[in-house]
Amino acid sequence: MSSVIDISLSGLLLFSAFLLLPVFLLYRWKLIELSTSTLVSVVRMTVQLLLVGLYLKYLFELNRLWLNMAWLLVMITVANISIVRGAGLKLARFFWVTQASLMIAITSVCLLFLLILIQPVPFLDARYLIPVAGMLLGNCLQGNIRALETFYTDLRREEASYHSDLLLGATVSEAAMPFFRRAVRASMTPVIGSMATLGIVSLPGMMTGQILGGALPLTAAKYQIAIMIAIYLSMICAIGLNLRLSLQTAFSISGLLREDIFARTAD
Amino acid sequence: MLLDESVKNEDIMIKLEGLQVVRNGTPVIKESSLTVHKGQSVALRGPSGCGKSTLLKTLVGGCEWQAGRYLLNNEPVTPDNIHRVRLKAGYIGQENALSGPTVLAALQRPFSFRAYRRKSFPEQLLNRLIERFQLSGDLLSHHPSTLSGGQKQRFAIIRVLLLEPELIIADEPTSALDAESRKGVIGELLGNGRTVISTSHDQDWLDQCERIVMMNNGQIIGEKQDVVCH
Repeated sequence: MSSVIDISLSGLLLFSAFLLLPVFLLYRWKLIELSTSTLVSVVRMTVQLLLVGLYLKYLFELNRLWLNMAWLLVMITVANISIVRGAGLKLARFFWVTQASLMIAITSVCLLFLLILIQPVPFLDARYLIPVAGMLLGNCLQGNIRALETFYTDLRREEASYHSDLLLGATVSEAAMPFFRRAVRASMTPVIGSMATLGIVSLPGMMTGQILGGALPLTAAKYQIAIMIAIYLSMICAIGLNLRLSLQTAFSISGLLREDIFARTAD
Repeated sequence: MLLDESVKNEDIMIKLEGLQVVRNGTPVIKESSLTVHKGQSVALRGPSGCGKSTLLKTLVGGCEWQAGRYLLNNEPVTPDNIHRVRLKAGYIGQENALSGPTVLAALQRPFSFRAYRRKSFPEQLLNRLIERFQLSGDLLSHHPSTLSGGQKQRFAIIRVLLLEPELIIADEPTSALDAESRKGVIGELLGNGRTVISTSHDQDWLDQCERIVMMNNGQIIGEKQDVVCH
């Protein structure tokens, strides 16, 4: 297999220019806000990815343990803020709970992945640690937003059902259990569905990237299987921990759902 | 005299002294005091929105109080030990949320809570109550959402009675029932010497209650015989 073919800057610019066509069409269709947000998003994506590419280049070259850990912490913190805000909850109430859940889930699954499968030298090599953690975090982000949003929105909407158990002697976790199940189901179903169709309906990004990077298709497939299992493990761990730990901050001492956890007032 | 006093105190189940509930900065229960003796049936009456349901909910910790004292069996109740009240009291709310794949599963659900895990499910009592409340046993295998309002209300009451609570807090327990099924429910809830604190607009229910406590604008204003109606 040949090594990866680099993309020239002029080629990338030329390819990006094709985006002007849909942007123009959206403008003509009077979807001005969509065409503007497309342009803003593409510019943001380009700047962010180029900066990360540049940053990772130095991160990989330096490959210092403390720097790798610090970058991992930054990634987790940014994901945490996106999760809490995306779920419509107040950051001040959920920051530490989500941070702890993500840190436990991501670091433990990353360690297992590196220890059992790759065994790089040095062990926490940035080239492996950062991309794997990034893939896990990206999936945990969507899963946790969905889980927290489903759990707390449903609890708020169906408070009578929660109260009917709580006021009859259930503990908070017992009364919230039907909502917990619903939230886990809603957040895990997409990843289970995606695992079932992977390779047939779509060729996953990581596998495509590895094949384009010169890896053997079978090696790329093995990596993809491992990463899907890692995604599943980190998601269920982060979601389970996040929902369970958040019960401590989201309910009053007498077990009532606190209204001040929501960023938006009830309709 | 002292002996009489202590006997009286032992007989008190619920005592509220200057209880106040504030919601969104507005007091919805204003310095209310109430004493309920063991075995007494008390109905709260007053215009809609005067705080009757809030007061009942507060008794089981469905709302939090900001000031005043609340005693159960002469022991102070606070938000962190309200669970103690919930284990003694059965709350029948206006919204009868029965959750589970079947009515039977909804009735059995409280027995899966840590508090009742050691208690076996009283099937005989269930059968007796189904008969008393003029329900059909076939409904037990139905999904709760298929029940009519009246059936749902009766099963919600059964769910509470199966736990055999010392105290019943009931918010309009007969509101969705016809005259025939009301009789069974009233007889079962008020006719067995239980302590019952309730709200109701049902005259049959009120006739059976020993005390009618009047409320207005978030405050207990007295007992029916004391209140002069204008």
